[in-house]
Amino acid sequence: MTVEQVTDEQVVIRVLRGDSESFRIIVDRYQQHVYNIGMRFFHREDDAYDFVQEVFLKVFNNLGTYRQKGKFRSWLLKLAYNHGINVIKSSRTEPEFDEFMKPSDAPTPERQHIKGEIEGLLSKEMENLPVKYRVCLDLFFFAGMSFNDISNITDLPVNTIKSHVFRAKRQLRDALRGTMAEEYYEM
Amino acid sequence: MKCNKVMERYCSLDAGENVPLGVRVHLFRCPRCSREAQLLDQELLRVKDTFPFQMEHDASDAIMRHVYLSPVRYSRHVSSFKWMITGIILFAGMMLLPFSQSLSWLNNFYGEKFLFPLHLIMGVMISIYAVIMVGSNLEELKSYVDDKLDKYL
Repeated sequence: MTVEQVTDEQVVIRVLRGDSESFRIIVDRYQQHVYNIGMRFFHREDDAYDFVQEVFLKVFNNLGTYRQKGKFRSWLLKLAYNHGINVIKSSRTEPEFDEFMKPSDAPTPERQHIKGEIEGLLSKEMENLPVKYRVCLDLFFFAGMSFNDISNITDLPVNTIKSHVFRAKRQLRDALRGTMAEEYYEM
Repeated sequence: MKCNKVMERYCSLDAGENVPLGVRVHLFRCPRCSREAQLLDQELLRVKDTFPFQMEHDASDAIMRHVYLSPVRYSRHVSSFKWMITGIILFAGMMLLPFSQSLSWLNNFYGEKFLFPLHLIMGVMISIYAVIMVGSNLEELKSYVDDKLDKYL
């Protein structure tokens, strides 16, 4: 069985049986996902890298508490999301945390990092959203997760997530209509 | 259904959700909406499994260093229940040995002198098993005995 064929849950069993090196498979699979959450929360690469390390260490230390009923990916991303929220909460005073949860007028790093049409459109849509909803859009569009899975991770209502995703898709559709108009014009 | 309504419904679909029949029929009949849905799907598929922020370097080595330094260690653990069940089966097997035909055959072949070393080996085996069982569940056993003692004292 190759590394790609091994499921997350099988890797977890290996680690829990004492094969700590197998944890590298989990790290390789999800470090990029966790890094994205870190970038959404902290907007700085260094902080996001520290966040990745902290999250994976926390995952390793709490692996014994993982119950194999749900997907491991959801469990890991929920842990990362909650850790991000806790770090922000502990590093700021309460009113500032509320501010953090509101949309910011300041230019976001998405503008500098995200390339391509859809990424650009999504970033435009995301700029008007609080950080926690940006994470939701990331999980839907980039990680391909369902509304229910995202709701389990973020504890946000399914309908709220659904409406944000819907708005982002509609933006994209409007932009694609422009592409279609160009196609017809060329014909 | 009107085009706009169909596309609104199409945009509200969850990841991996089946397209409703009404929407599917409309897409089949309307080339414009069909093209629009196709482009939307293509874009969503293109972006899936990519990342808005790309890591510039791999963090796995640094993470694994932290993991190896972690005080948390996992090891294979067989529950005391499994130990008990296996022990009982082993013990029952030994107890039933005198009633088996194999033992009477061995007895006829080697004579009665054979029985003493056989029982000795079985006794040693069950003792070793008991020692390993207690050794691997020492913490559990200790807390169990402590609980019992607390109740009586």
